[in-house]
Amino acid sequence: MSTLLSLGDTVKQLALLMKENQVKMVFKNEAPWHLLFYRWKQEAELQIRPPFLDKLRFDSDGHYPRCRELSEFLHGLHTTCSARVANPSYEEIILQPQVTRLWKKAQTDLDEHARQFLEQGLAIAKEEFPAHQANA
Amino acid sequence: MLSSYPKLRHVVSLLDSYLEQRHPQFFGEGATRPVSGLKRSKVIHDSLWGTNRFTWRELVLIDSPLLQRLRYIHQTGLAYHVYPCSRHSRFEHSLGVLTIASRIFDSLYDRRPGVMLTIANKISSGPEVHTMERLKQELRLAALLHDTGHSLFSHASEKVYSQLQIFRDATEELSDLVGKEKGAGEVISFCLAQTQGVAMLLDRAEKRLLDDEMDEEIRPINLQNVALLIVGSAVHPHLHFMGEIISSGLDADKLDYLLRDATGAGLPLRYDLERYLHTVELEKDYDVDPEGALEKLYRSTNAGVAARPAGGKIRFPHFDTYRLRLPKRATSTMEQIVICKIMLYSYIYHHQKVRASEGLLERLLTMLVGRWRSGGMSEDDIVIKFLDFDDRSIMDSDFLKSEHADVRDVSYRLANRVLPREVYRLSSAVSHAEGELLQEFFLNLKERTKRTKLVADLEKRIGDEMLKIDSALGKDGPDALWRTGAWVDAPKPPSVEEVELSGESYPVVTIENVFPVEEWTEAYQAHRYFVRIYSFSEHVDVVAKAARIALRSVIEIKTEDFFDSCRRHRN
Repeated sequence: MSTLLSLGDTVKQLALLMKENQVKMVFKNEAPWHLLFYRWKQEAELQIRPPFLDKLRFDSDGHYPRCRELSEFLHGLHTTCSARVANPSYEEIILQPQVTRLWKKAQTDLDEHARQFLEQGLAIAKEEFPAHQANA
Repeated sequence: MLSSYPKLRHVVSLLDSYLEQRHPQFFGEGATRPVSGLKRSKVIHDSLWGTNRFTWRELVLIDSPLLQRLRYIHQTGLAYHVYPCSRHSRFEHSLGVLTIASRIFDSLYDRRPGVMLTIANKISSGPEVHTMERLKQELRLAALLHDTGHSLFSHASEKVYSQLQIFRDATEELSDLVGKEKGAGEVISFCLAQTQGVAMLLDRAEKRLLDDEMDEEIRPINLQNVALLIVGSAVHPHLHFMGEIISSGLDADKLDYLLRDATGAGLPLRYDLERYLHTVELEKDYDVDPEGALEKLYRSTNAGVAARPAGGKIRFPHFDTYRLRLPKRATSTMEQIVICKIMLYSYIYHHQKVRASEGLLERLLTMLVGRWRSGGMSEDDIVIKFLDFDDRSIMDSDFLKSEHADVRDVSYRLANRVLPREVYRLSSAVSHAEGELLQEFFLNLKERTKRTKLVADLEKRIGDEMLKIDSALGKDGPDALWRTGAWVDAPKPPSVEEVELSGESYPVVTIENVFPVEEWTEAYQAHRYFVRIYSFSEHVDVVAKAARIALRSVIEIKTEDFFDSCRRHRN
């Protein structure tokens, strides 16, 4: 399964893991997401890792390496109402329960390699997301 | 600059030999034009931006086939099938972008002369005023040439030729060169500005200039910088703002096309350009370069840039730069621009008949490319076909006068507006007990790799189901789809590029923080964005039956009332 994970699958499963581990997903600042995937691409030492990771392209014309493909999907989470922001502060992303039910079902199909891969992502997320909340 | 980019060099040389072969009077060793003496400038009147002066370099390019062919490429593709007055071309748009880019540059120079002269001083040892003149000329040429890569009906054909391996490779190389993702149309415009043909045409023009004691001496320009500006980059990190004037969330291209497309279609959409020009800012900033792409670029342009500094407060190695920004007090202008863009998508670009026309053309071109390939045509020759095409080509031997009856039929439909009809229209606004399945379907369409696969799977299933209903519809699924004019249309929704506002410390404030862009695009997605299934009128019933089975299997919604609500009927 880990070799079949796409960028979108990975974002969905990681978002679930972050929710379960109380890692707040900040809104209006995509930087931690891009930094997370950038580091993941550099640091993932697992033998079996999803091929999409090596294909991600990061633009270098801003304050952090930024992947347009990732941005498109993150916007998609909002525009399809799969994720909303918590009023009134608009600071944290909240996943929609009906949609996450589907993602949760997919979680049970993940093999050991995919789980290890996502655990690695979660470890990076635990560093990147709180750091950006502190900066915000 | 292109020494380590063989595919880009190949495209440049292909374009050079194409220009010389097709237009020997203008390009190549034996070229003779311009023949008569040239005035140093002329004025041209534009319906949107009024009377503007163009320099001799611009005029010689405007009077060449590079720009003249754009007269025959409609700016909004086949939108005139819906908006009869939407007949404006890439030609006047290119002149308009030049005018706006120039006004942005002048506004920055008038209001921030100190910063501009400091930049000039850092990038060149010559007098700052002369450097500024040169930069402005390079910016204006980049604006003029930015759309020269377009082929027939603009973006509809770009989707097809961008699939050629030559462009996949060259796009990859261009993205590596400038450190950001680029498209196939940009590759052609970038490479055209790098051709010998363009350089020699400008050299010849300089020799034909009429004497004019009032004019100052002629200073050389850097065509490498022109090419880089076209793709939003520049030869020096301090010139990043110039690349942004041509290609960014705040660019002159958008400022022109929003108003031109709205005016052409007769839609009362406006934004406040004057306020934009009075508030646009230049801000000292930095660009991170973690993998050294920019360092490699600046070394190759011989801009005298030192290695990127690492460490310090900034997490990655980086270059100091200047960026284009709007202050918070210009929020209302940005708001107008975003609203204009969203409205244009709703009214024009995503109109169901515009999508029908463009989808039909895209399918026709894809089929033709397939036939050319199987007939032994090389990729280079296919590129040349696209360079030869403009919107008039639809009436010629490759289309309406083709020897193949099916090509003639589809071309006839395009030429005479006999367009496919909507059979199903899916929207995420449909409320349904199994709504999350639909939501997941729409979310998967947001992922590039899944979108392609999902649409291909859905179309394959429709084709197979049609053959089960009536085996006479084609020899296989793809043939049945082609003959019935059935396809799945899942357009890219409008995106609001990241626009940063000035006067804030890190993290830079983006427009999403100031007004509800996300909520607007969410509302657009829910109420104005549709995934459609089309068919020729004469096959609507069979396509509808097959599509319902295919949709049910792909989206996994089981209840029939959902599909009933998505079915389109002509009352």
